[in-house]
Parts: sequence; C-alpha cells; structure tokens
Amino acid sequence: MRIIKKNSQLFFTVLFFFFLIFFGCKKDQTAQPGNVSTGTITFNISHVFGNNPLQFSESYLTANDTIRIQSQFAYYFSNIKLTKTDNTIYSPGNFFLVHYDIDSQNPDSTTITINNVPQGDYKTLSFVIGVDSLHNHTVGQTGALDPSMGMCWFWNTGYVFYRLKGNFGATNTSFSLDLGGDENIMSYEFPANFSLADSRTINIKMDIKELFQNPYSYNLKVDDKDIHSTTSKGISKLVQNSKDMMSILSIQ
Amino acid sequence: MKVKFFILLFLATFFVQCRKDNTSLPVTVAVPFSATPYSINYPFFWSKVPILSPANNPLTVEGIALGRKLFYDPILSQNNTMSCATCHNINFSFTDSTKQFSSGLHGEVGKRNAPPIFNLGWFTNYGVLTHQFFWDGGASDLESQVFGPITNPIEMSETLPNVLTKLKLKSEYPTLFKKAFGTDSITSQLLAFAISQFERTIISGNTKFDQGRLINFSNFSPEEMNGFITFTSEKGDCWHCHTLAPPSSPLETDFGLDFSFHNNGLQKIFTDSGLARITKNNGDLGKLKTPSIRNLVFTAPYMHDGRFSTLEQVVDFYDAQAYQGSNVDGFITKNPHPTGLNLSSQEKRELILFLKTLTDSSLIVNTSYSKP
Ligand code: HEC
Ligand code: HEC
Repeated sequence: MRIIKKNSQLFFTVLFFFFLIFFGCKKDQTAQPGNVSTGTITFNISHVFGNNPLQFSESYLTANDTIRIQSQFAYYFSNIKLTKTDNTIYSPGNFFLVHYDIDSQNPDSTTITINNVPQGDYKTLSFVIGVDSLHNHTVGQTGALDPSMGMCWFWNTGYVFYRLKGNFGATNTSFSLDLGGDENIMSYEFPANFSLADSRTINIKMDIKELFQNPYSYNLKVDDKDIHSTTSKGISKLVQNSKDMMSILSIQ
Repeated sequence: MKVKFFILLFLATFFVQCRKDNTSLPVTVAVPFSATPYSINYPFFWSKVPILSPANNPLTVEGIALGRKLFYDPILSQNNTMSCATCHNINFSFTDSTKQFSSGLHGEVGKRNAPPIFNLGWFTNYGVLTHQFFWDGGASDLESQVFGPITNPIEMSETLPNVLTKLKLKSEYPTLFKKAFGTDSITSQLLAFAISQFERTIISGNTKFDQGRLINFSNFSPEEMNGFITFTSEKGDCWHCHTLAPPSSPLETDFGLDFSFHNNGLQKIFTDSGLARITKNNGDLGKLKTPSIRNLVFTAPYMHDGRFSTLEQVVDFYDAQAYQGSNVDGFITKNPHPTGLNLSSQEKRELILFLKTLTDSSLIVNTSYSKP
C-alpha cells in the first residue's frame, strides 16, 4: 500500500510537472508580444511642398499664391494598421503628434517608430491624419492627446487634426488653418508588400501642396484663410484635396 | 495526508509556475493607488438615479477636496486674479452675481450669461453624448469643459502649460495631487478630473417644492398650487422642457430641465446660432440648452443673453411675445399670437410664486461647496 501510494504520488507529481511545462504559462506567453518574434517599423515622413522640402524660411507657389508656412505646422498621425498576407491585422493604437513651431528644428521630416510589430509578410498599410471619433469627444486625455499640446478645441470639444499657419501673397497676409471634426478625418491606405524580420523603414511623403489643389484649387484670397472650427466652408475643400497628400516612397 | 499533499502541490504550482513570467513583466507599480471613495449624499429619493462618473475619474474625497480648492484658486488665470468662482459665485447659485455678461481678465465681456453650477453630474446619465455643456453644447463633458474658461482670452486668459507650471511650483499642490491621484506629476487631465469631481458633488434639491413632493404638496399655498398646475398642464406647458412631474405623479426626480436643446422663440434673428454651431444643422439654429428652473431667485438675469432681469419679464415673454418661426419648438408655437398662453395677471403671479418654491437657500450657505 505504502509503495503504491508513493508511486501514485510520484505519478501525480510527474503529471503536474508535465502540465506545468506544457500548459502552465501558455497564456502569459501569448499575451506577451515580447516572446513572439517581433520587429520594429520606422515611418520616415518627409514633408514637402511640391518638389521642395518644407522649411519655415521658404516661399512656395500654389496655383494662386506665394505662400509661406511659418510659425506652426502640426498633425496627428494615428490608427496605424498593418495587414499581413494572411489577413491578420496589427494595430498598435498609438497617437503620434508631429509638431513644429518657428523655434523648433526644420520641419522637413519626422520619424515615428512602432515596436513589437509581429514578424511576417505584410501587404497593406493604413493610417489616418487625425483622431478617431472614439477619442475625439473628450479632451481630458494624456500623452499626445494631452490638451496642453495646444491641439484642442475647447468650445466645440475635439482635436485639431492638422494645423498649418503662415502667410501668403506680397503683403504677407497671415493664414491659419486648423482642420478637425469627425467627418474630416483623413484616411489613407496603401499596398505595402514587405516582410518584417528585425526592422523596416517605410518612407512616406506628405506633400502639402496637394492640400491646395485637386479637385479644388484652394485660393487663400477667396476661400477661408482662417479655419478654427468645423463649420468653415473651406474645411471640406481642403480635406477633399488631402486625398493625394500622402504617398509611400519606398520600403527599406 | 493525500489531500494535504495535493493542496501543497497546487500551491507549489501557483508559486513556481508563473513566477518567472510575473517578474519578467515590465510592471513597475506594485501596490495600486487608491484614494478614499466618496458617495454622494442625495436628498430625498434622488439616489434612485445615482450620478455617473466617467470610469477613469471616480469620485474620491481627496479628488473633490482638490477640485474645490482649484475652483476657488485664481492661480488658474493669467495674472492670478480670477478664479472659476469669480463668475460662478456660490451666493448667486454659482452664477455671476446680477451681471448680464461676465467680464474677463482684461475687461472684455462675453456674449452669454454665466449659467449656474449644480446638478450637472446627471448630464452624464441623460445628456446628449457629445454636447452637454455651454449654452450651445460646445463642451462634450465636464472634464473637457474646464479648459474653455482657463484658456479663453476674454475669461481667464491663461495657457495650460503656464497653469501647470504655476501649480507645480506652489508648495501644496504636488502633495494634494499625489493624495488625490497617486502622482505628483500634475497634468491637464488631472486638473480637469479634480475640478469635475467637485462640480459633480454640487447638488441642489432642498426646496419647498422637493419637500412638498413627499407630502402631496400640503406645504403649498393655493396660489403656489395653481402655479404648479399651470406649469405642468396644457395651460403653460412649461414642464415639457423644464421637466417636473405633475402634482399627482408618484415620486420622480425633478430635474427642472430636459438635458436637451430647444428654440423657445426668444430670437427673431439668430444672433446666437446655438446648437447649430456644433451640429452644423440649420434645423438647430436658435436652439439653446434648456436651463434649470431651480434657484431662479438667485440666478437673474435670465436667458442665454441675460436679456430679462425679472421673472415677470420671463413670464410675459412666454405669455405673448415668443416668436413663431419655423425653428421654434411646437410647445411654443401651439399657442399662436395674438392670444399666446393667454394667462391672466393672477395666473402669471401664481406661476411666479410657484417658480419660487424651487429655491434652495441651503445651497448658497453649504460649507461643502464654499471657498475652502
Ligand atoms: C469670466 C467668467 C467665467 C469664468 C472665470 C468661468 N466661467 Fe464658467 N461660464 C461662464 C459663462 C459666461 C458660461 C456660459 C458660456 C457659454 O455657454 O458659451 C460658463 C459656463 C460654464 C459651465 C457650463 C454649465 C452648463 O450648464 O452648461 C460650467 C460647468 C462652467 N462654466 C464651469 C467653470 C469652471 C470650472 C471654471 C474655472 C475653471 C469657470 N467656469 C470659469 C463664465 C465664466
Ligand atoms: C420648448 C421648450 C420650452 C418650453 C415649453 C418652456 N421653456 Fe423656458 N426655456 C427654454 C429654453 C431653451 C430656455 C433658454 C433659452 C435661451 O436662453 O435662449 C428657457 C429659459 C427659461 C428661463 C430662464 C432661465 C435662466 O436661468 O436663464 C425661465 C425662467 C423659463 N424658461 C421659464 C419657463 C416657463 C415659466 C415656461 C412655461 C410658461 C417655459 N419656460 C416653457 C425652453 C422652454
């Protein structure tokens, strides 16, 4: 009896260790992206006006005007979604605020890095310029969405998705364009065929000139030169023009 | 013996099994922070509908105390002279004395009358999700509303980074934020959280009317009762917007407003577009947030633009002066001019006497809400 009991104890002990090894921490392992093979993706976004890198000191030509982006240039980059060839989607859910003002460094480019991206073969990249409606109706938030960042409307609660401030024409008339409002979120989707091992860099171009052309030739002398609410007429023209603002240059 | 062994084995699995994973998790907070939970002491039967707080900003004793201090502290304004209480004065049921328009730090005046602050927490339960506060619903929740007056050049005219710097430098605030939120890193979010918590606790319901609700209004004079009937019957039809249950109704939570927006025929030309500014819908032109019908004795002048200084003027307006345009609410246009409501002077007097039963004199001396 005693021997049998010992044996059964041993048996159960072995069984428990068996369970322990094979199932014990499985849940934790899958929950931790660190244990799945992941890589890093860097978005290298170059800001250009037509063919020229964006500089606060430069003048640029639209069909209607000479314009200068001065004082401020800022936008939210968010809702990043990467779709694999097997249709699984990775979306980190972060908000990135790209923000330049006259005292900061040159606004010609920025880099945004996301870590813990599962390795594998990807086919599509999508993202938005703006803040999705789930996060756009309260501003008591933190991080990139902290209202101290100066990218909020307080008298019509919500975020400024895209800000362009400067002046235009021979008389240096100032303009200030703040685009926002759920219906004005700017969404982009691109084919992006690459396989991710350790890291990748996706080179993206933001051409600000596109905001002023196609389908609408936006004329700061005639259209709104100051937009600070979603009620402005100019806003929908700019947002429709924005469809060609972003493009993928290369994936390295 | 056997049982003990298995228990031991089970325990062993708990202790050994996932330990490695637990320690390898990049978690730095060991003990979760907790402030003292606060539950509102509701008057009468109002606890039937407890106020909802956002999940990430529950009421705590420490949070409310901090919010109250901030509400009364001029540190939130550019030159440290103006607090929220400057325009939301407890002596006037948290409105700006008898001023039609408040003046800001630099002396400029706004275009709207400062509304009272009480019973605002219920907007989270009943309000229109994305536009609850300001006369036109421009602020979607209490937390977001806080930043408007602080940064408005014609109000407190300060920047958020400046406010935060000043708070960090003032000795007591880092400690108070730590007590309330477990961190002494003062952020805009926590500033808004604290003030909103305080605002949610400001509840006003200790009135002759509310006491009467419990005893079949046996405390009402005949005139007050007649006024009540005018208010809640076809005659005056005020209660559709300024919600109160009729005298015969069972116990109700009488908010005195419907958490909604209406055009009550006040503006012939929409100098204030109201809700339409937010919704961009022409049908919402001239719709403003229904104000509370409580504490009117303290909140004169009346309407979004403070155009009426007496309740007599308000009642005369509803009786025969309301515009009848297409945007105007059906409960107003159903009594077309020239007759209008056709109230006799006796009925008008009674209506006003009734409105005055909704006066909570204990609010303005409540030491939980006064300057700490
Ligand atoms: C200069 C005067 C002034 C100051 C200072 C001020 N307010 Fe106000 N408040 C107003 C006015 C005027 C309105 C109405 C604005 C509107 O509807 O456009 C208002 C509206 C509000 C509302 C909306 C109430 C409702 O029912 O919709 C709240 C809440 C509020 N204020 C809280 C605050 C807080 C908190 C502070 C301090 C951070 C503050 N106010 C500072 C004048 C002021
Ligand atoms: C169709 C909805 C509606 C009806 C019916 C209605 N009101 Fe109003 N009431 C409002 C709105 C909306 C306002 C604010 C309008 C503005 O400021 O432009 C208001 C404002 C008021 C105010 C001013 C409160 C303040 O603090 O400024 C009083 C008092 C008032 N109403 C009393 C009455 C009485 C008495 C009746 C019935 C004779 C009545 N109301 C009927 C919607 C209504």
